[in-house]
Amino acid sequence: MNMTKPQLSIAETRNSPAVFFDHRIFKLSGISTMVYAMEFYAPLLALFDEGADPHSEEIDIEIHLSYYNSSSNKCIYQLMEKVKLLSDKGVKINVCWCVEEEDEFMREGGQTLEELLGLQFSYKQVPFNQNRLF
Amino acid sequence: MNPSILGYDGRLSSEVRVQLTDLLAAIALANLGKRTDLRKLCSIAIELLDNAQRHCTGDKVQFSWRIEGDEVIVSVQNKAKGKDALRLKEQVAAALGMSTQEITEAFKAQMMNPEFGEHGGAGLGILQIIKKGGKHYEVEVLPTDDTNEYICRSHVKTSLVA
Repeated sequence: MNMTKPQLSIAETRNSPAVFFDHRIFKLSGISTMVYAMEFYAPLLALFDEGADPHSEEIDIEIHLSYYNSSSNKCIYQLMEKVKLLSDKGVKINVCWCVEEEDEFMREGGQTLEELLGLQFSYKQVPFNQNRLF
Repeated sequence: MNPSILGYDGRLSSEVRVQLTDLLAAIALANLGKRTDLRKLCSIAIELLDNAQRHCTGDKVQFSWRIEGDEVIVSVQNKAKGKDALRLKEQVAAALGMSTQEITEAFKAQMMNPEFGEHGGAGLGILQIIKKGGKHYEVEVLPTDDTNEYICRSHVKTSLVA
């Protein structure tokens, strides 16, 4: 694992999430409310096809979004489909889905993805950010 | 007096949408306090704005979000091409005719559908609005002088009572 040379690092904006990806670690954090979400996620999907190390024994994925719109939801599903393919090839996948205290929206979102993809997420409760609902 | 109105009448760009979302968050927090369904309630407005930005053919969108008693009422008005306006009306009517279970299943099926619409939509917005509590979802489609353009008015009421 080479943390000093990430394969991809994108800074967060006010409507798009921060991304960190280095073959064995994938992190998505912030907010995802782009109207044309696929424009943002398409390169990430391609990167997962090309950049994820199929010989990795383990990949850690952390999703810490405060909110995502439905267009982003479909993109995140497609991203998780790529993750599932790696899981099916025998790679151990650890998905950490962060949820602010009792945030129904994010918890339901994670549970739906788990159900549809047959992946198991671990849920990490993070404090409610009073200053940033979105 | 209504203590919690957010209204906007003007061009809708991604930057304006970001600003409206920030204002919406501030108003929701100030008036409703910390609730477990806060993002769920705001998601209705965000999805309506997404649809308006995606399909708007004119240069103006009218948006309002207000709390009245134990309801949140969100309204969006924009011009759209005839086929998009009529499709919106049809899709909302179809979704309102579904049971809660059918909405959930339709949402999952649409999420697994890899296609995006010609305007970049995931086909999930209407289902999401109804799924998140917008059972009172009305769409009016009104003709304009331009035969290919319609005015779309969407109103969604959501109960604040769990």
